[in-house]
Amino acid sequence: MEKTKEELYSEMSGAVVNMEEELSVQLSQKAVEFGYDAFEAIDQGLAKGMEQAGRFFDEGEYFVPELLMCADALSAGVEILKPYIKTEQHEEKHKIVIGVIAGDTHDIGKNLVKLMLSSAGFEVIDLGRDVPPSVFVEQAVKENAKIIMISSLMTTTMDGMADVINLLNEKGIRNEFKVAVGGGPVSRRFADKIGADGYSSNANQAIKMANELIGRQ
Amino acid sequence: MTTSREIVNEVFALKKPERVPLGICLGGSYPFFVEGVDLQNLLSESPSRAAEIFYRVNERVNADFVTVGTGATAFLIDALGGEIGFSKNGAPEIVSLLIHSIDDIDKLNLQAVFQSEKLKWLRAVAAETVKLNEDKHNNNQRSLFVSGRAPFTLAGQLLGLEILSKSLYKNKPLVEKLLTFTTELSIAYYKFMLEVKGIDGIFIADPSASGDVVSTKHFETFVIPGLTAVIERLSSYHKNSLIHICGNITDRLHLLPQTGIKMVSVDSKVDLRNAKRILNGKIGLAGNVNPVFVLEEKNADEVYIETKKCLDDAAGDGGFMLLPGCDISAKVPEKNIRAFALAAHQWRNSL
Repeated sequence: MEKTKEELYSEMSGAVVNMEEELSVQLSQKAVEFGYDAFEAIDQGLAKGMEQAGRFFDEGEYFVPELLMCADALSAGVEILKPYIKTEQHEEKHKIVIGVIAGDTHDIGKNLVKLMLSSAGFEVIDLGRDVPPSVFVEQAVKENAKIIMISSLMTTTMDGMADVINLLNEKGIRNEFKVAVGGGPVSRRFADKIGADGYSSNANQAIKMANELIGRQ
Repeated sequence: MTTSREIVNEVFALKKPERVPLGICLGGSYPFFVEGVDLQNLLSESPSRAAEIFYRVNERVNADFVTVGTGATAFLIDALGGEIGFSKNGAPEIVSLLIHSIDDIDKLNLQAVFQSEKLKWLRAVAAETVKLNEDKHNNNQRSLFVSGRAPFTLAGQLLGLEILSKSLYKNKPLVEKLLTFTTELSIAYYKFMLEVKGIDGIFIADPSASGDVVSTKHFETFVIPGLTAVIERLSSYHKNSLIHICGNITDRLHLLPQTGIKMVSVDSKVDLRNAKRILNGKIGLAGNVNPVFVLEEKNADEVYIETKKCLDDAAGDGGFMLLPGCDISAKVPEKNIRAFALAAHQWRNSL
């Protein structure tokens, strides 16, 4: 008996949360074969699995390797479905520029945040690692981004985050962007101290924070 | 007078010393920053200059425990043919990855590593530090440890932590072969550094085995065996051994005594009382004053109070060394470090 749409979406979600990349591809192909809406299959199927993976991460059941594996399963399915998304379905995506601050090359946390935000419907422009404060500002302006996200894993580089905010103030454009910070040694207290608008302690919570920053529930 | 070295040795033997020993630098960058020099420039100078800076800063802040080589662990990757970049903000970073496939591991030459001029310089710095420590005018010899990386973290440095993380699921043969290599690399490195007489122990940093990165199951499967081999194969040197692992490692602390390690240094995220209970006197404990929110951001009085809390939680029955919960930045005020040290020195009265 043919699966219902809801059953298929549920299995797609399960494939992502269970880190099953091949199954994610097979089920995404089925969604195409059955003529299901590609955008809906991502939104109601694959992305739901990533949301669940994020919750497992929050709860200490999943760690970085598991989250990366789920993200691979998600991406593999999205690659199948993407060509079938109808152009008019593209709602305007909010842009985020993200990067690791200058002097720091630890980018696994930033990459996880990027993956989670992409799966949650943001357009994420990755500036990479070891990014000077001026580049965060230049790229945010160029891309007309809503949020600047800065990551640091080293206590010795954290202060560069404040430099981004100082630069925005100097240029008189501070109010045009929300600035969020995160990374191992970063805390809410530090974020408040440097005048950041947002702070997240992990990749999953970064989605909630980003939604709040753009006024989306 | 009991020397710093003797006091540190006592806590490694799980005894109650006359006061609690302390260390300041988990990483190696702080002394260079506060003295306004950087590692890249120091490399072109005499090893004695780096040793002088390193030793004197630790001496000035009353550290009993001094590590040599922390902050320079990327030299090992450089010696294997990898590209590293020097940073004004911290330790050298690995710029490009050396391993892209399982076959690449066979191309790495373990023996050639120790022809590296940078590693020879580092070993000479250790030798010069020993000389300063054992100078006849020095009335307080400190405990000197050589610092390096554990096999799991070295594997991440060679393959990239993201690829290593995925390979734990997708490519176990690659992970196993790489860990076999990095275990030998770690052992060879410590043997190379332990050729310097007067070194008291080995300091092993394993940040990639963090409780924020890998699960306890993966920790047990991929971290513990390599660490055990390193400790076992260096046992003939009869040196103390200390490991620092970042993140909240409460759920895996119970696995460490079986490796043969003598002491574990924990991150600020770990509850010291709980850690003491789990370790149950099998190995020593070190930690864990928060390097940012306490040492960098609070005033000296507050640092003293927070440090005393750590001591109250963990130092009462000995076997404890006071350390920051992770590396400290150059922006930590020296008066705060003095307050941190003072808390340890004054706490001895209640031992």
